[in-house]
Amino acid sequence: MKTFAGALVHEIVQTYSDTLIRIAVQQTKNMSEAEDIVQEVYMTLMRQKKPFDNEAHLKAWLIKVTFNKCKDYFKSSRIKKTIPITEEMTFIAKEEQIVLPEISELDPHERAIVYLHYYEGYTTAEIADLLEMKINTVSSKLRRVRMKLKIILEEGS
Amino acid sequence: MNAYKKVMKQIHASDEFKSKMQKEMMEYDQKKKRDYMKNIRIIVGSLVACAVIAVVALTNVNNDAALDLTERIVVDNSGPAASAMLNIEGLITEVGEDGLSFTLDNGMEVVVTDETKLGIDGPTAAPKEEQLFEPTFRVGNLVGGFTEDTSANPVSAAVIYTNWNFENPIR
Repeated sequence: MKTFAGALVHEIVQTYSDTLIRIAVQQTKNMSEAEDIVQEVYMTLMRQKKPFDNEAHLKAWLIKVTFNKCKDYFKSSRIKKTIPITEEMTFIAKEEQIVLPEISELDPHERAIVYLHYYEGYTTAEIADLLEMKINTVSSKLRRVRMKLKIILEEGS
Repeated sequence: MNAYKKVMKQIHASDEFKSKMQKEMMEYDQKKKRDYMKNIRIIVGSLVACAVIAVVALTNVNNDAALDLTERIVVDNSGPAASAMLNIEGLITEVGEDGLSFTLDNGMEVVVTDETKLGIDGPTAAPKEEQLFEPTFRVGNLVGGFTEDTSANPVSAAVIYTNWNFENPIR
């Protein structure tokens, strides 16, 4: 059975699917498109010949490829009519659904940055590397996001 | 936990999606392994075929080289003229494995040695490439030659003047 950074294929799917789906859903605002994108990411992984140094390297690679596949999705003709994100995410508690429109107001980079920083705990330098951006750009976007999402980021913390 | 994290936590890949992905990735892995083995088999098969062809070709080349008796013919037209004695004469009915011994239709067994002179020599001799001498002894060839001891069995040929198949000659 094939392994990447010492992890078996089914372990990788089990460990990283949630993270990748979250990134793709935030970008596409559509769960089925997000699943298609993550599927493409895994198939790209299967074709990958270059070894990974460790699991952190593998995770960073998966995130980077997911983000790039999302960018490709927006360039492609298969982009579907945008469905309001709240219509898709009916499984989210109603009182928390107010967060989704606020997130969808952000630009694609900001959505990825806020997720990677506030949920995954990546530093600005790491995010800059993952999203192929300058550290200063990531920092300024993060400041702007904090201002926009002040309430949802601070509430309960 | 802030509201953002709470919402993000609720977005996750379904178990169905994970199972589907695991299945697809394992199938892809197996297909790749099968393709890889198929390629290996094709490569190994090709190499074996090439090796067999090479061995056969080399064997044939070596055999031809060893049995190209016409190379041993030396034509010296400045030599004295003489009448040739012929006491080996007949059609080859059997050739030994070494290609240098044969049996004639009259039952005479003949051995060609390193000392056996091949071809016709002398002032009236035709050029080497025009003489009736094939590179190998083979069944059906008409052979003419001379031995110093006809009572021996097999006889050792001192000279083989002619080795030719008139129906299907090989030069």
